[in-house]
Amino acid sequence: MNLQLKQLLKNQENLSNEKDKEKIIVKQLKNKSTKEAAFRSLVDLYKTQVYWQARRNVVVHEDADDIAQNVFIKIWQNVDKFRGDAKLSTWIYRITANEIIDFVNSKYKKQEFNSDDLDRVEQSLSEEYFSGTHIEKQFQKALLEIPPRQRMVFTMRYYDETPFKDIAEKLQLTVGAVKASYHHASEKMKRFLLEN
Amino acid sequence: MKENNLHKNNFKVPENYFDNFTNEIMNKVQTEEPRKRFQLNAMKYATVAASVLIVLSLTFGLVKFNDNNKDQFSKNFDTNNIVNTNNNNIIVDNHYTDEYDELLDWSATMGLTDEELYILLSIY
Repeated sequence: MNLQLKQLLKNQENLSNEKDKEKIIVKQLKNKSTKEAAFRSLVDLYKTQVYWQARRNVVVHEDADDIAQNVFIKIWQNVDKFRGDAKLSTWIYRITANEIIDFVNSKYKKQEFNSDDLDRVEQSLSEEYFSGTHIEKQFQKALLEIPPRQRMVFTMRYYDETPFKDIAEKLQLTVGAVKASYHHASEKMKRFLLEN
Repeated sequence: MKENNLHKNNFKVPENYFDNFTNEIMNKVQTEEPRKRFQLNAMKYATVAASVLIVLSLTFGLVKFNDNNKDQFSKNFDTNNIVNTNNNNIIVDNHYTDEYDELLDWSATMGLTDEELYILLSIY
C-alpha cells in the first residue's frame, strides 16, 4: 500500500472517529446525569479549534483566551437548544465566529483600540508568543486592519485552505459573498504590506 | 512556551495552556449557572418594577394633566366657550402634525429605514 493511500485511509478513519465522538457527546449532553461529563469531553475535543480560530483573528493571546472561554460558557448555557440540524463542530464554529465578530466590533465601536491595545499586539508578536519573521509580523498587523468578517474568511482560507463552499456553509454566507470578502481582504492586505 | 504545529501558524501559547483550559472552563460553568439564574431573576423583577413604575407615572401624569385642564377650563372659559377650547386643541394637534412632517422630511434626507423611523417616532 503506498504512503498516500495509507494517509487517506487514516484521514477517513479519523473523520469517522470524530463523527462517532460527536454523536456520543450530543446524546450524552441531552441527558442530565451525563451532561457534565459530556461537556468536559466537548471542551477537550474542541478547545484547540476554538482557541486557534480566535487567536488567528485577534492575534493577542489574552483576547483569544477570553473569546474561547466565552464560547464554551455560551455552549454550556445553550446546549439544550442544539437541535442537531448542523454538525456539532459547525455549530461551535458559528458560535466562535459570532463571538469574534462581536468582540472586534465592540472594540472598534467603543473606539477601545488604543495605544494599550497596540502595545498588546506588539507583545503578542514578540518572541514569547510568536516565532515568525519580520514580514510575518507585518502580515499579522495587516490582518488586524481588515473588518472582522473579511478577516474570518481570509484566515480560514489562508491557514486551513478551507474551500469557499465550506467557508460559506460555516459562516452562513453565500459563496459569492465569501469570494468577494476574500478578494477585498487580500487587496487590503497587499496594500497595507506595500505601504508599510 | 510551546509552539503549535498548524500550517503557517507562528503563534505560541503559554506552557500547559491547553492542559489547564478544560478544568478552568468546568470551574467557570459550575459557578456561572447560579449567577445566571440570579441575573435572570433580577432582570425579570427589574422589568416588572420598571413596567409598574411607567404605568403608575403615566396614570398619575394623565390624572394630573386632566385636573390641570379642568382648572384651566374653570379659570379661563365658561361653558359657552368649550367649542372654542376644542378648536384650540385642534390647532395644537395641527402644530404637532407639522412637527411630525418635519421629522418625516428630516428622516427622508437622513436616509433612515422604516425601522429606524419607527423607533424614532416611538421615542418622539
